[in-house]
Amino acid sequence: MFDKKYLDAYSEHVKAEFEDEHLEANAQERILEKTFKKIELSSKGQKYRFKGIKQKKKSIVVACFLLLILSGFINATPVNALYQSIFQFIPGFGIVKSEEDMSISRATTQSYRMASNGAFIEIKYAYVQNNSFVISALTNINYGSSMMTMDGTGERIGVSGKSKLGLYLLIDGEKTYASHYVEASSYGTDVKKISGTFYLEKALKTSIVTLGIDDFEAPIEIVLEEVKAGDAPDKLGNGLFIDDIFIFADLKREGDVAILNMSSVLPSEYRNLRFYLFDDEKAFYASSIQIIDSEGNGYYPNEKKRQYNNADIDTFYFDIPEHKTGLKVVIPQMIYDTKVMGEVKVKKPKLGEYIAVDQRYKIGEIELNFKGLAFVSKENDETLKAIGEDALRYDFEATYQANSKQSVFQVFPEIKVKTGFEYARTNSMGIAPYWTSKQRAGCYYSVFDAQDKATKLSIEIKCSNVLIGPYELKIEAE
Amino acid sequence: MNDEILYRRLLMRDQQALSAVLNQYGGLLKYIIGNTVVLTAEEIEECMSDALFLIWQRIEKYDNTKASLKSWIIMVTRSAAIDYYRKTAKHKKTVFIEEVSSTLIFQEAFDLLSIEEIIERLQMLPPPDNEIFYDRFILGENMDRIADKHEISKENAYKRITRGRLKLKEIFAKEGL
Repeated sequence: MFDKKYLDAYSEHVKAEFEDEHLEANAQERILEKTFKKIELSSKGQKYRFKGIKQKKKSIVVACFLLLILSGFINATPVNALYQSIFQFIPGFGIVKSEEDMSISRATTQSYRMASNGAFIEIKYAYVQNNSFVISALTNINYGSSMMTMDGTGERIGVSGKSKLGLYLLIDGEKTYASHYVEASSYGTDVKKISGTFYLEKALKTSIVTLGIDDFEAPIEIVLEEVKAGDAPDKLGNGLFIDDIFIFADLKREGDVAILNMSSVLPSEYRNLRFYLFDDEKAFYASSIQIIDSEGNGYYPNEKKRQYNNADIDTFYFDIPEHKTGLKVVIPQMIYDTKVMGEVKVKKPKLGEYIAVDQRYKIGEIELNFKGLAFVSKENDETLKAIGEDALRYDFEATYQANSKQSVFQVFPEIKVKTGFEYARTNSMGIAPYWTSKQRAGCYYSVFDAQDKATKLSIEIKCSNVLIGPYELKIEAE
Repeated sequence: MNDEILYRRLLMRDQQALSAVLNQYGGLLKYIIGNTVVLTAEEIEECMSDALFLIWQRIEKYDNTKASLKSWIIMVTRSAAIDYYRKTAKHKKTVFIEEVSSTLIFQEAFDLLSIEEIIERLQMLPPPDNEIFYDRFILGENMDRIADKHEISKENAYKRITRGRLKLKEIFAKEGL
């Protein structure tokens, strides 16, 4: 197999130097400096040992509270069930709504980190909810690439190897592996975020648990404190209701750095509320979350610090001098997703054909109309010329209630193709142009395998919407 | 510095070898990154630093019996550029129109594979269509440039890329991927 190295033959003739891409000496120096810093950070083997339960003097770190009355931000409609919900606050995670019979009984009060020979695991938070033990962690431990087994003719006869880390909980000296496990890579490095859930056959009797990863020599002990019911949290003022959405701001100050963690509780028809703006979204909304101090000085997030700390997009790092007080959070807008809505079955149009659909969806204060779809040639569409493919174009129109603060940001049809008697997803690529806040119509493009041959489609819609502010949350006394 | 010495110095964790990589291949790295994702000058430098860091981290996985160091560096750079695109672009099905790159269109087929495994498959793609496919998929060159370079029409170039994709699909299908 390796006698044929067509790629090597090609690479040999690829120019190593492109005149237009010449790098100046200063640029080379900057690039190398950044690289050496990354190497240094990745090789730091800091050991943190558990030294006992940290007592936080000021705040109740895990609290269970009942919200009955709010001032200032309740809208004029009848009080809804959310206002009378029980919320729990988990440090490092944020606010959760505690359902009946599903309350959180224990949770960590701090993060924990263990390192050995350049590898590390950091437990961001963990909690016990009924029979489940849930953790969120960061780690750079790898499980190695898969191995291919070949026969004598060079044909593959098997693939073996691990597909996930062996994350375990040690209970009574026995390893219990996570029953549910999700992994996501972080910022092009070897650091991964892992979320794991363990099913507990028996209630945990101890407040100290041991977690580990197979092939990592240093398991980590964490402490789970009991949730204290009935305490009024001193963080109550950090919460804000906006219609059926509840947002919560948790601030931690470490010298001249302020770390803000935002979390939310949403009605069932919404998902993934965020305050963070990705780079391409900044063309539409000038800024993301901001902090203002008592003197009116404004501070914007330090994105590089967030990335270096491998923090999620709901955590923001600010450079705020330690002596500045009276901080409040200003949120210019929030972006959230809707759930998938309303299946429509349509005939797939032929090239150049348009099929009207006229299906309407109610999303909060927005009415979205799926007007129709067309199969468009790449020769007739500037967007498609750029990708060199014919595509299906889905057209939408939106109507907003008077004075509504909600607007459509993107629309994403979920498409299944009829194969035999069933509809199934297929390999596809989508282009979802952004809508400006003034825009009332937009579209979506999809290209999928064998689209020329498809005859019928099943389409469900979901959107990404914007809730325009500004909204303010006071997070620190003066 | 020849590639063999460069490889050995990287394996010995000599950080100055990264300076040599940048001297020899900096223009090529920048070219690939610039074709894969639309970035400012500062972002390009950040992405190039990501590529160098990835080279540093993965050098032990490089096998000189399976590919030349140059091929490997090219593919590591491509991988770093795609990772940078993904971390800066919106997730899920969002693709910003001007940022759609040829490099990304076929990417989903390779998402399950490591860099070294991708190289193994690409090594198997025979002429006459492989060069144009590599130009588009690896270097991220646009169709106008490809057509000029190979002195063919754009339509012809599209057809040859499609043939290259089909050939690769056959290679994947043989392996059950």
